[in-house]
Amino acid sequence: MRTETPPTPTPYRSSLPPGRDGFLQLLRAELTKFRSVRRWLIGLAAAALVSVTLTMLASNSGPGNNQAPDALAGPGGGAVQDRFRFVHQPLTGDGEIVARVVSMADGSGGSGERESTVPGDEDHGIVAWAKAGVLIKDGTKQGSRYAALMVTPGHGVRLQHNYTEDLAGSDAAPKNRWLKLVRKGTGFTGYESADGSDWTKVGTVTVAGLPRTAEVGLFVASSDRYTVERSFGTLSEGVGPSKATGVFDHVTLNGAASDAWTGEPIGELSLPKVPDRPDDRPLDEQENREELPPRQEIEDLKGSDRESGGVFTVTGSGDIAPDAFVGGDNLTQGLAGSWVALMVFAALGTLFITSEYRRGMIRTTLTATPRRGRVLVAKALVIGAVSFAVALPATALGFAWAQQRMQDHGYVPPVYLEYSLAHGTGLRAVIGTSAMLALVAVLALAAGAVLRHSAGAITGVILLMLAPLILGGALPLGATQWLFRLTPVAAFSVQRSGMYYPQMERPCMPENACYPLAPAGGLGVLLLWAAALLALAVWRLRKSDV
Amino acid sequence: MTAAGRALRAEWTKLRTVPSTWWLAGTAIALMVIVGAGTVSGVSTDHCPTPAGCHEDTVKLSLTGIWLGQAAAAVLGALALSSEYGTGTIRATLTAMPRRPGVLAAKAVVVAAVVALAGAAGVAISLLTARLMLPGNGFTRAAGYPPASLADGPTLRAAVGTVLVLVLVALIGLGLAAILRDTAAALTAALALLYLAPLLRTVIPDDRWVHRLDRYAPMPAGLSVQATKNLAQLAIGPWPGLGVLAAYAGAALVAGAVVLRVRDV
Repeated sequence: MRTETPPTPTPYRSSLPPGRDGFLQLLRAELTKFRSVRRWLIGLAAAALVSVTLTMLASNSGPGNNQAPDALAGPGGGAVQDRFRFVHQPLTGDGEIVARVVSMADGSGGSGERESTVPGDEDHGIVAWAKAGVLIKDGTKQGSRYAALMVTPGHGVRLQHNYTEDLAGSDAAPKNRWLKLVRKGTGFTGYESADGSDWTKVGTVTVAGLPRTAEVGLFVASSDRYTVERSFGTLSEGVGPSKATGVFDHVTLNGAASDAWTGEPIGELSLPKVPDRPDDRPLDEQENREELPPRQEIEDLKGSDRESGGVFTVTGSGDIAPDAFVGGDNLTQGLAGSWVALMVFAALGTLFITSEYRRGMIRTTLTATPRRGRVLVAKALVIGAVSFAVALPATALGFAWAQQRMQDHGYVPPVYLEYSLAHGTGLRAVIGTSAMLALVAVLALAAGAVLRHSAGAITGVILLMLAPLILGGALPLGATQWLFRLTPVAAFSVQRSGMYYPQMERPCMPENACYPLAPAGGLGVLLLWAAALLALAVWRLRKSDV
Repeated sequence: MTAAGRALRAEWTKLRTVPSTWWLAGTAIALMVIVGAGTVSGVSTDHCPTPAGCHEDTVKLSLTGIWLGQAAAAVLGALALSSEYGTGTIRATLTAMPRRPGVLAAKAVVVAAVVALAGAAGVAISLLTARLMLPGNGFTRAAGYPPASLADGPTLRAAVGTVLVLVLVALIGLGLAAILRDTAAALTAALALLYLAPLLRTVIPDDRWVHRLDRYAPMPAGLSVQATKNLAQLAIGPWPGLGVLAAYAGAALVAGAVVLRVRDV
């Protein structure tokens, strides 16, 4: 009997090549997941549409009663203040002026002329941004180009030009400080010295368009005393004029000039300006308006000057600076749609991971790609890229359209700045806002991966990003500033407009379109938060079962 | 037990056995109390020349927490229905109770009851905290600032109105969930409806548009019920303002009932 061993069956082997598990394949898989869910695509389209619509709504109205007809335009187009006491004479061609600031004092002190106009600030001295120094200016008309080297009681030596530009020198106090301003063509170089022989260069600036013959001399200005009191639910801002007296000696003028000095006030105080929006803030805030100074006081604020034996005593009021009290933030107005886009991206980012948990899809995903950390990174990249790709055109379109419409509605210089996609600030704001929205989507993805529950993650991220904007005006100023430095809200600094100037006595508040961090820094804070939360999510995904 | 009673009982059982309901109710209370206490801590009599000339609306300030607390209420209202769509329970629910608008009504009643209880607790604790803190900030009876009492008409209106705002916001969440059938979509829509108007009014310089937003957007209008001082300066009166919010809630619920009735689940 013969037994035949049956042939052993060969196990089935697929003839297909093994699949690759490269990161690119993972990215492709995640992108396929995202784009094959129809309601997410609808959500994206809706986000873009509603974002543009909301921007249009926000730019629908005219500037209302906020257009100040008497605003003064500077050479840069923005509104400026130009009011000070000037002791001057013409200088033709190149030359230099040297002067020693002997002392500076509160111009209203001593005579006891009037009480402080600012509540809670009875015990004031000279304002920190009072200015005494040397100035070369295109004539004596307000708003003209200039370069000035000055010393201030609170902010040391500064070289400023054309109202908005500011260069810091040493921290020296206005006590026997020598200043030298040299003109060479349109270049101006400032030097300072403690003794008049050992000079330190402050810097060189170019004032384009300054004519060959310009007025050169000594000036004193003392900016409005600005106080702000913010507490939960109340905000009071106060402005009142102030005066300062500067004493100069060793005044030397080298160049084609005469030797006859003329002293006169430049500009006249019209009204102290307070933001003319009594109720634009979320809580019931009240602003304590200042009473207008009486006529006599306006005369008095023109200051005085006298010279005796080469010693000039100049008293002045006002400021040579940007005018931050007029207008509004028409940059943010053109980006209003980003708030609603932020909400949708937060929801989509969360859903991109939580829906995998709800449907059990996460088990398939992690079976196919057992390296769990990479899955989350791939998801973050995909949702970030998709959000940016949708946010950028929507933001840009809404912004360009809104700015155009606002200009037609009367948002025009000098009170409002003109923004467009062709210029730095507008372009930065649009790209930065889109980057912020993409990072919010990543943050929401990470929050969803940590919480594994969509409701909590969506609400949490939206409130984290938007509540400080709404309630920020209610918090004490210091707390708000720290909030805008440390929390993801810091990213809204990409919407910072050019309206805030550090060389002014005005606190940096989000309501003033001022954020304590620079745009890149604010975006960096959000990036750090997203990265940290993503790391936490990776850790949780690796550690715990799904 | 009547059909309505059974429906209410079923919905109540569902709502109370989901842990998120109590988490959210607790969160709403905590947010109200914490934000309210923080707000009250910052207010003082510095800007009050006389008690009569004092514009600090301490009652309203102590109830500021509703700005955040209402988000928790909206989530609670939305989740009461949207989680059924997420898990598929909605099919069992509608098999057991085929009269669909009745289901939504029963849900509205139990959600309103839970939120009203949580809101009442939050408002009571907030007012009590303010009563304990305010004398330390100069609002003493001796200085002419008697503590707020629920016996005062305006204070009672603010307290009851705040609870009602929370209830109405939760109902908006519920109605949007019935329309959109998705937690994420309903929450995003509810939060956008609530918070976009206060954000928009910060950038719009035209006072007429700000005034319109204050009158007709749900959150600014509804919260005008909290005012106890300077009523003449409100864009819309306290009760009419609450009526605007109620109109939004009613519209959301009616639209939700229609969608629930005509669409398959």
